[in-house]
Amino acid sequence: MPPTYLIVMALYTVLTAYILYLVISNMLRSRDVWEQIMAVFVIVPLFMRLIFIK
Amino acid sequence: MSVNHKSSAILILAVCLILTIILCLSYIPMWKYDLIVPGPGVTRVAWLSDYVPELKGSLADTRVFILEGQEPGANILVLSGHHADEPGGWMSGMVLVEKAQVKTGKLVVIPQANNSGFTHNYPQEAHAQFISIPRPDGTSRRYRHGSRTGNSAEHWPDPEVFIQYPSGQKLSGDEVRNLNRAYPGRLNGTFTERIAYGIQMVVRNEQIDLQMDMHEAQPEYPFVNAVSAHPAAEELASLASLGMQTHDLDLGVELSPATFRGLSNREMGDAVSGLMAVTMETANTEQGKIRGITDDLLAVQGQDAFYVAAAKLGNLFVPYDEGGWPLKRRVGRHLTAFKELALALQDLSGKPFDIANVPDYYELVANDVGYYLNPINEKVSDPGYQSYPGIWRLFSKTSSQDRS
Repeated sequence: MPPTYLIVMALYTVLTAYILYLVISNMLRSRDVWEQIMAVFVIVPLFMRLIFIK
Repeated sequence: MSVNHKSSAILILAVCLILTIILCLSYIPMWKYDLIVPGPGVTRVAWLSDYVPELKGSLADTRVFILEGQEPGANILVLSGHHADEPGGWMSGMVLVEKAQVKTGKLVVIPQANNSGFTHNYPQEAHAQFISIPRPDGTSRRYRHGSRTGNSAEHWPDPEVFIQYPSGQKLSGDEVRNLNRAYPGRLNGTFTERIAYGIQMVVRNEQIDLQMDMHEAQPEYPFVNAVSAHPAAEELASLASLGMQTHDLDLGVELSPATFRGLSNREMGDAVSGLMAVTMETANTEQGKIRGITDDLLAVQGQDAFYVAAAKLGNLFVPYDEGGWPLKRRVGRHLTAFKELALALQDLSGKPFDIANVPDYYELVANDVGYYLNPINEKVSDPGYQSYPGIWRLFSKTSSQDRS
């Protein structure tokens, strides 16, 4: 049985992946280029968190 | 704007990917363990996971250097690097590992107690990722310059409120990754509590008599150039403070408050019978909130014009002039206090402790820190990447035989 903090971290990782999916799919649908550019500020840090870099 | 939205989205996704790769490549080198060149006084190099195997393969694992004399005597533990953005603290541990030679007794040094803190920077502080210490032969030694707290890639998210174990005291959420709030630790607790538990096992297994924890604080912080002592070490700290006077150095003494929990001195002093535990602080300009340009030089030279002005207004708790508080003065203070505390321990416990090649304040001011760091030679093996955060830990070295 892994420690509780690892289980919580795994659940939040799944949540991070879901938020990333929502942001990227919304960006692909968006017709506002500025909205697409703003998505960079969400995608980059969340992707780094998803792959456990920072 | 009339652009094909699909094309712009794919272009921006590509930009995201490139930015992520660039940022990752700037962070990952901080996972690499620092090169430490043990001096002739080091008789054994262990890892924290040798005391608590559950820590193996995680960023919690860190090196434990043991310097044993030929005769038994007092056993002293030096902890540094609880906060990786306090180089005066952890550099003192490095100098002990690389230069000290114990003749009687035992010295255990954990120079980077919270290795996880060395693997990233503290957000919004603009601190350098690495600092270089020049040596007299023209070469230099490079070290990671990390964060006050452990890496959030290893332990996240932070809670809104951190409830300290076992006291139940409530602290701000990010303190959950602060090793100096995690004592006495527990094996089935948070990532940071597991590190604290590992250090508790070092104290118990090595039968430590005196535990010193070396820190730094901002010059405007009231508790600086001082030692905080567990009640069991109050007389010891007072004697050391008197000893510092013989070097013309002031060392304030405070009793570790019973209402402030999780600190190494308070919790370990309470948990381990007979242990004397103290925490020392020097003045670190780059931690201060009114500092100007923040770069790797500030960490080493410790000079800042805003602090000179603040000192003239009487707003600091340490003297501060154009010379600032360079690393050599901070390490000099810590090591002189170390020697005075060791002398006081002998007086109080009757156990002998004899150590050589530990420079004092004036030697460090004259020669600078690099003089007391060993050159890198081919005999020294680079520890490289030993462990990784998160899912990357699957690639961590899992056997202690692989370790150098």
